[in-house]
Amino acid sequence: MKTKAAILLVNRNQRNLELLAEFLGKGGYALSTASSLEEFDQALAEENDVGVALVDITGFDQSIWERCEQLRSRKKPFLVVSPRQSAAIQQASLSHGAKGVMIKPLVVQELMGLVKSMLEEQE
Amino acid sequence: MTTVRKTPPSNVPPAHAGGSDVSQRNGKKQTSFERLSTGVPGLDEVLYGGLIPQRAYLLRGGPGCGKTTLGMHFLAAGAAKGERCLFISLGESEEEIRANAGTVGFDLSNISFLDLSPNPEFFTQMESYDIFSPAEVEREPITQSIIERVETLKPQRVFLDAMTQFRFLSADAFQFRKQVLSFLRFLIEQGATVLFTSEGSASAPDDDLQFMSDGVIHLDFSPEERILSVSKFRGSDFRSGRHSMHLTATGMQVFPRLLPEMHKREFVAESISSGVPELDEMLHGGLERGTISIITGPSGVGKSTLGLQFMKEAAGRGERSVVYIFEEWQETLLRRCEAVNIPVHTMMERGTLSVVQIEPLHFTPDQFASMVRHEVEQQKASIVMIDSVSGYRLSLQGGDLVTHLHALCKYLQNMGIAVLLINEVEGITGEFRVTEVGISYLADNIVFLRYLELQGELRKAIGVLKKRLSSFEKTVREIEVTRYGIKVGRPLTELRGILTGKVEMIDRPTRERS
Repeated sequence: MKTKAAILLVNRNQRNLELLAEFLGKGGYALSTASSLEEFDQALAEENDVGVALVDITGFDQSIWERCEQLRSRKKPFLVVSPRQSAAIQQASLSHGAKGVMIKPLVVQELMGLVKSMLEEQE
Repeated sequence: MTTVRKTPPSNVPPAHAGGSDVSQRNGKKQTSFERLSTGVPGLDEVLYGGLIPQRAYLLRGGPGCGKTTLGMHFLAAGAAKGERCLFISLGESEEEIRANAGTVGFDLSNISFLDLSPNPEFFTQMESYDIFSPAEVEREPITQSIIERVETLKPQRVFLDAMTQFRFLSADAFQFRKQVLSFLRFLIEQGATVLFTSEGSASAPDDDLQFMSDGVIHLDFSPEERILSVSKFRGSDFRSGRHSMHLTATGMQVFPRLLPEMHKREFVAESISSGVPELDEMLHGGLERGTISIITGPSGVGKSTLGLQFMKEAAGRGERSVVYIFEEWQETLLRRCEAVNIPVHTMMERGTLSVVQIEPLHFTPDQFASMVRHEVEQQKASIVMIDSVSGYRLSLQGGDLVTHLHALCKYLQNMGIAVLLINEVEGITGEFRVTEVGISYLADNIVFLRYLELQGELRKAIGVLKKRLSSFEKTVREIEVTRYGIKVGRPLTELRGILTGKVEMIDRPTRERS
């Protein structure tokens, strides 16, 4: 049986990362996390089997979009998590390759469904 | 909290699809005899015996109304009977509750606690999450700990403080309703009787919880008094209305509103003699049991002494009387009585008299009524005197005192008590008025005392205005309070204008000529 592809979680908030790991971990996914731009760069540099990424832009500056571009160029689908409903964020996210934008707070079941469908698409 | 589906026992019919009645869904029939004491004196009486077991009751009220205190009574009463009791707290910590209970004197040592209040570490944690809503994150651990605790303990009594906290753990109102109902049903199926509180206010109404519970107890707090009322009690009647409630150093006490029609006793409406032959003559025997008599007159005319005269005579027959004094000091009254040959001290020693001084603004009318009830029902008092009506109105807290006094008098009447109401009129002389507080409609008998100015001397007169159960002497007589006791003279047939205060001698020869 093929192991499930890993999910890269990018989030500045440690508690958020713990909770995401807890809920997604129940789904049996392998996870890697990044809580700063450096860690994000490192994760991108390493050639690993990251399938999809979940990028919470809260607390990052404009340079987060460069990393998003890198994800796009590597054909890694990703979702942007935004702290609020904003047309500007939505537009920036989609123009930098995001599959979609989710507004906090997320609904666990919805998130699980999206991640699952994105991974299936990739296979 | 989540919707935990427990397989219902086989003898329990399936849940009604539309009904929200927790106990109905539980399907267990309750006999009308089974009652669970709330542990609060007076509240069981309001609930006609107590709570019906294995149901869920809502206790609502603002901050400081005594919700937690009532909950502690409820659990302590269960623990005293050896029942398994569980306190689920979502606000206060276990240490706080135990410390508070200790100061009030509750024994919570046999009560289990499930402390779900946030601990101090929660605050010192650097970051809090925002990725998911609290409903998604917190509900499950809380639900799990409740389920585990309830399933291991199988409590018979559960007190949950406060259910409204769960509102923050529900995505929407519908989820909340479903979760609360399911949770209550879970607890009841485990064999518990549940009392849960709500922090209801105008900005956060708790009407939904009221619909979901089997009974609703409201606690209210106004500057004048604390009030308890019941607005719903499935499967039982209850004493309606607002009941006075006290939070004291020993916990909560409820004084059920007096409903005179609830009390009745067989008695013979015989006359009680005053022991003064002339006075008995005027009253055609005396005052009857089960009647309300108003003794009215200006200050210092001898109203209280007259009332106590009846008690002195009753004490001779071994009957007990009670005087509630609102104005005078007990000592003054006792000394005054001794001075006019009414042996109050001996009577008190023998238990045939009780003089109770009522401190101003200390009691509510319900509380006072409960004191009187105790005297009548436990101490078997047969004469009750309230000295005075205006003192009653001034000393007791709360509004609508005439109505309360009316209810109290009707109760005493139904119990066969001779009620003496002392009424002071302000004018020493002048136009005659029976009372100034609009209570004369209450009276079966009215006895009045007046001052007369006759030949430069101030004298006193007594007369009877009304007597429902017998006829009476229509003349006015002179009355004197001496050190040998009350002396009533012959009818004052030579005087006229006594009621107006302008007394004149009747010129007999003129009258004979005409």
